[in-house]
Amino acid sequence: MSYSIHSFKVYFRFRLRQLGRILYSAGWPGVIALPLLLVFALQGIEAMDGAPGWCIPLIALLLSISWHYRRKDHFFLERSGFLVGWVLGLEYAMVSTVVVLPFLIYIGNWLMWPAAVLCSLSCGFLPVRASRAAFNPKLNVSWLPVALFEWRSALKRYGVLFALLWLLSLTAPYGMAVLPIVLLLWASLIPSVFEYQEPREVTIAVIVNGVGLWRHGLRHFALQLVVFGPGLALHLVFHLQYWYLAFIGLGFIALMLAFSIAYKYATWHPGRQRVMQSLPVTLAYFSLFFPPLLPVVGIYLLRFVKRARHHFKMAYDA
Amino acid sequence: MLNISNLTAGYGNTLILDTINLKAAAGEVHGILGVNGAGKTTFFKALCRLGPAFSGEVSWQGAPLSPAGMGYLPAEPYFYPYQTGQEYLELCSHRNPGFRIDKWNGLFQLPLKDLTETYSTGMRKKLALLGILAGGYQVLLLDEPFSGLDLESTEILYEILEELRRNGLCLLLSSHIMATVRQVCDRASYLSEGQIQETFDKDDFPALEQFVKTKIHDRTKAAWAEIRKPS
Repeated sequence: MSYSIHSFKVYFRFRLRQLGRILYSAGWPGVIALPLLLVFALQGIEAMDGAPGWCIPLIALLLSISWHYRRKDHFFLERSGFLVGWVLGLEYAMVSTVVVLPFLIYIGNWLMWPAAVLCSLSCGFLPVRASRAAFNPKLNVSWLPVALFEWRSALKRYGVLFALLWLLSLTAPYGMAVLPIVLLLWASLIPSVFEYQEPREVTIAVIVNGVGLWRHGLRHFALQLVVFGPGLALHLVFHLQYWYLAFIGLGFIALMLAFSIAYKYATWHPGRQRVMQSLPVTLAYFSLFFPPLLPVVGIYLLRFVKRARHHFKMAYDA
Repeated sequence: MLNISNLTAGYGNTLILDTINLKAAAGEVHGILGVNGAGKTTFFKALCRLGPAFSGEVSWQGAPLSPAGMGYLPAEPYFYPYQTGQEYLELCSHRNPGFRIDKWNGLFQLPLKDLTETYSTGMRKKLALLGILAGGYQVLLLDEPFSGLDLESTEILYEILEELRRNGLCLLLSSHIMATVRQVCDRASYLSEGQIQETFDKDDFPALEQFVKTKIHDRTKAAWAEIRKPS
């Protein structure tokens, strides 16, 4: 038994240190993000007004289950001889307590605390299938490095702006126009994501033909949906009657993504590192604010797609 | 004595290993050989219940051996993000307070205060190796322990294996390199088509090499004839 207590101490001491390092590495963007996330949390608490008490253990349960099936250290802990169920259960219980504490204070139903703790604790004992982690041939994420490389280029220069816009999207409940405006501004920054040329060897593995080009665009769009998922959900919860505004905002993003990707690969040249931001990009940018320009942008788009396909055909044949 | 009897394993409906029987004594280094895809890693994972469906019995010194009773060095070890080498070894040695991290690290001299993200592939391998030594197991499963190691570390690993053998541990080790098998293994089993085709004692290793050559001879002979044929 004594070695078990020692094991718990070793594990949680490491997790605390790890948490400290994660917070430290968040740096100054984290300093900006934390108060905004607090505002987001307070909104959530306010939305809980009048909610039944069982919502608290439910939050703890959902948090713990999703964490349990996302983590990858089950087998490491098992192989290292930890009492896995208890270690994970206690970890979930501690974190859930921190998360539900503001709700407990707001709702005042303290009987739900032990219920939340028990729910989280029990999640630690849920079985995890090894084969799922070890063998999943259907999940193809080979495209992700190229997509992330492209975003990395832009985030290095405009990271703060992107972060602020994302955080602003979380304030969607304060006004039905917040999300569309944020998405519009975000869309206007998208050309900068595709400003740099990757080496051909990197790109060609993912986009080998015209179909790959569209697929690449759709994957970037899917990334946008994931990133703006919370903001979209908040907009739809608080302003359901203005659902179409969210879709218009997404339309801005889709247009700029399609245009930027097509433009980048249409102007692709082995010896050139940067995509020249010329008149067509400026027109596409202004079409977001001045819709009569959209037909011109559409024609450019078709032309660039054709040229990009030609480039990829040449690269593939080479 | 490690006794593995009737081990059958596979993924879904695909059978990878069919009724494997293997015995290895305490203080023995037993090599598991086979071509790529023969099922060496599946064999280790099945013993540790890490993925493939499993049936069979495993015992050590006459008593059933649980998966947690075996130390396993996988080809790609797991490390937490934002974890130092020291913390990794502390987690691995939590059941074995007698393990002196600083003394064992004298062998590889890893920068244990640094985060594991900053380690090279070889350094991560060495850290994982120290990790399973820290666990204080009697049976070790080493999947390609020499891959990714530099010349010096390879020599050090030879010494470590010799020390473990002297201490009476039982080691199952997979390798593709015949020279390694010759140097460290007491016996070696050749895995093919889901079964152990043959087991060789140290004195019979020349016969093992001949066995491998015979297996590939017919295939390569035909392929070379095709390659050399003028087009």
